[in-house]
Amino acid sequence: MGIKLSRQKCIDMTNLLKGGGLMRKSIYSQIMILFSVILIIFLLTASWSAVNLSGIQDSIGDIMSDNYDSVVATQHMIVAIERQDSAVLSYLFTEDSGPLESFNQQEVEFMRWFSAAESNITEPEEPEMLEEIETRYLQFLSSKQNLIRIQETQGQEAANDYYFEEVFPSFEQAKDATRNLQILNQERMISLKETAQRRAQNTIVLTIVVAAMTVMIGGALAYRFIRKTIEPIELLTDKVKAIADGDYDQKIQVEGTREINLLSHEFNAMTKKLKIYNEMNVLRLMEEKKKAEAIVDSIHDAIIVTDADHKILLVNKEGERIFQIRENKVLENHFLEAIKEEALFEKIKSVIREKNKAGEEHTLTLKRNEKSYTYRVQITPIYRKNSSFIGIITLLQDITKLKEIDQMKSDFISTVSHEFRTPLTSMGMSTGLLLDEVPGELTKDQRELIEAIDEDQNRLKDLVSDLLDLSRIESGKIELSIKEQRLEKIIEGALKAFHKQIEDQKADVAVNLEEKLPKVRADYNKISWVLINLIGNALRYIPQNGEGKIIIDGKQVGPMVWISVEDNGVGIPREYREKIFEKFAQVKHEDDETAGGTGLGLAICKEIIKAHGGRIWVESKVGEGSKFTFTLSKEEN
Amino acid sequence: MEKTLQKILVIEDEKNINMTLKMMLTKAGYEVFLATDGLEGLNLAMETAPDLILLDLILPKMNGYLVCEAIREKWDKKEMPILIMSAKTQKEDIDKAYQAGANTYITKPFSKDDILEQIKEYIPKEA
Repeated sequence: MGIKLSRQKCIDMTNLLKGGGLMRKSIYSQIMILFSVILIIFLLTASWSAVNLSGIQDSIGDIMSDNYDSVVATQHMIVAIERQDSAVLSYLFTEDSGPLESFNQQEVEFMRWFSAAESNITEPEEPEMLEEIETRYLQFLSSKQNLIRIQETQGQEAANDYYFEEVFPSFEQAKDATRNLQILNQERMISLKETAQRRAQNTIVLTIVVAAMTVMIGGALAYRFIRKTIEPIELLTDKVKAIADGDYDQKIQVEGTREINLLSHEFNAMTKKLKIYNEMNVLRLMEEKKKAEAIVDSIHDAIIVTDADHKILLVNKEGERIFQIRENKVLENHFLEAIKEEALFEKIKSVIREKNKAGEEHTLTLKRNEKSYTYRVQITPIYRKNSSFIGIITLLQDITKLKEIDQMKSDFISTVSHEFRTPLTSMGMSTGLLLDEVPGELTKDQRELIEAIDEDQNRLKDLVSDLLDLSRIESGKIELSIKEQRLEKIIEGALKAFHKQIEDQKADVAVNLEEKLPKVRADYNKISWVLINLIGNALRYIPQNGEGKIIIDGKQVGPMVWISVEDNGVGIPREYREKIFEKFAQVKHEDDETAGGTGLGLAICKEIIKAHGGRIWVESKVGEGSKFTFTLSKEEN
Repeated sequence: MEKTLQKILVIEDEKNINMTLKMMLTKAGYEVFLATDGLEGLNLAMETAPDLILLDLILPKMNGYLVCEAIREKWDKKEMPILIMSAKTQKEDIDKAYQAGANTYITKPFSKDDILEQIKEYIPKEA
């Protein structure tokens, strides 16, 4: 269910992302708008700067064209008038006509530049000044005429005086007037330059201010836009994170673009669904968990689950009771920390160490309230499919009662058979005496009756002795004195017991032992007992007409020696092959009633072989025969 | 002739066993004395000095082990063989009997032949 849920989540997320396509488009157009705005601001700023710059250029142009022309004109005028003055002087001293010609040329030059200045009036004072220049210049011209006349009429001396009294001052005045005009235009140029500089400075400052404002406005717009776009996404991310953490009470309330609104609406719908799913799942899981817990707790056996590091993962009610712990207090604690049973812990560790020990049963005795309890311990490791080790389940089954019952049973059998022994002794001796006719002669009928009693008391005697043997073995009181024995010796001894019977039955008994068969580790008497039982059984079931065959076989298989007793008797039906090793189990054949025996022999054989660390089993074919095989450890080299 | 019979003392509280043993042993040619508790058995042993004693372990008044020990104070195993006949089959009981001085230990139930064979082993019939 969990997987299904997360897949559902994925689908919803993709839908969200699909919806995000719309949002992306909207964000794209928003970005376009934002950048257009910023672009326009930049364009406006740039054109404004251009206008300003062209203004500066215009001012510079003005200076160049108008005022500069005037300055040039005045300079030429000054040069011309100075040359005229020089021409007057050289005329005065040389009385040559050459300088007068130059004077006239310069007059033309002066007038040309004067008219140029006149046609380029830029300042309001200029016309007045030009008038002044004209007046002064005309005075200079007329003073020169006067000088020429005086020289002709009054002589050199008077001319010289006149020059210094009239001509030169008028020249100076004309020149000054012209210079004034020049100065005016020069100053005007300077002032215009200053204006241009000021304008340029203003333009720079303004451009900086406007650029800064543009940056600020652009930045603010961009920031606002980014915040506006990212905020809901961040919010959404937080909410999705919270949902991933299992908090399904998430709701988005976003005032944003239409698309974001749509998205948050879908998101809210999704969380609502998720919440319902989750609640359903949680409820179901809780129910399952409770069920599982109830089952585990209702088990009458103690269960402890530990992980690979022996940390406790689970303890059920019975486990809590017998170890006197509380599950919630010992969870995650180390096994030994919680349950101070080193013997049990060693067993668990040995199961982890050796895989093949898993499933082995152990018994453990625990003392509680001054009473001993016996438990059957089953330790099962848990592996994942990829065979990695997860942990261990330890199950303790209280078998104290069973043990007590078992003990009572053994005690009972022991007591009963014990009480049988004494009367059976006197019965046996009595029948023996009667049959020996010690008290007196017997009639045929009397003898028959006594023989019947004797036979049955012998059967009882066997039963009692087998029962006692078995109860002794089962109660673990069997004491083996294991020595290395030659198998042929044991077989020989066992066969000796049947010497007469074999002869009577004309049975064919063969002993086939492997060459160089190692000695076996066995208790001579007990293994003799087993062999006697097996041979006795075989003799009981083989044909009694001389066709009976028994083969006793011995061979080494690995560290064990296999001993088998094979006969050509009636065989054992499949359903009995396991059962015959149980107490009082006897095979009932159709034609035959049971062939006698106590029904305990094979059970005792099994216990004896088990105590030797071996196994015993039977292979059989009905009508053809049976083969009993048991194993014993071979001698140590 | 009568005096030459070998004497066997049976100390056993079970009267049926006593009866059958007496009949059997008498028939086999022994002189049989019977005691039904430990104390009586011990006294009878002192009195009659039997050639062999058949002794039960669980007896009134004085148990078989004590009787055995008491007899061994006077006679050793060769002088007076003691055959324990008991329903006890535990190894510790058997060991205890041998420690007390028993020659052998026969577990019940035994047959007529079992007991006669054992007796013959310890006190062969004089030729």
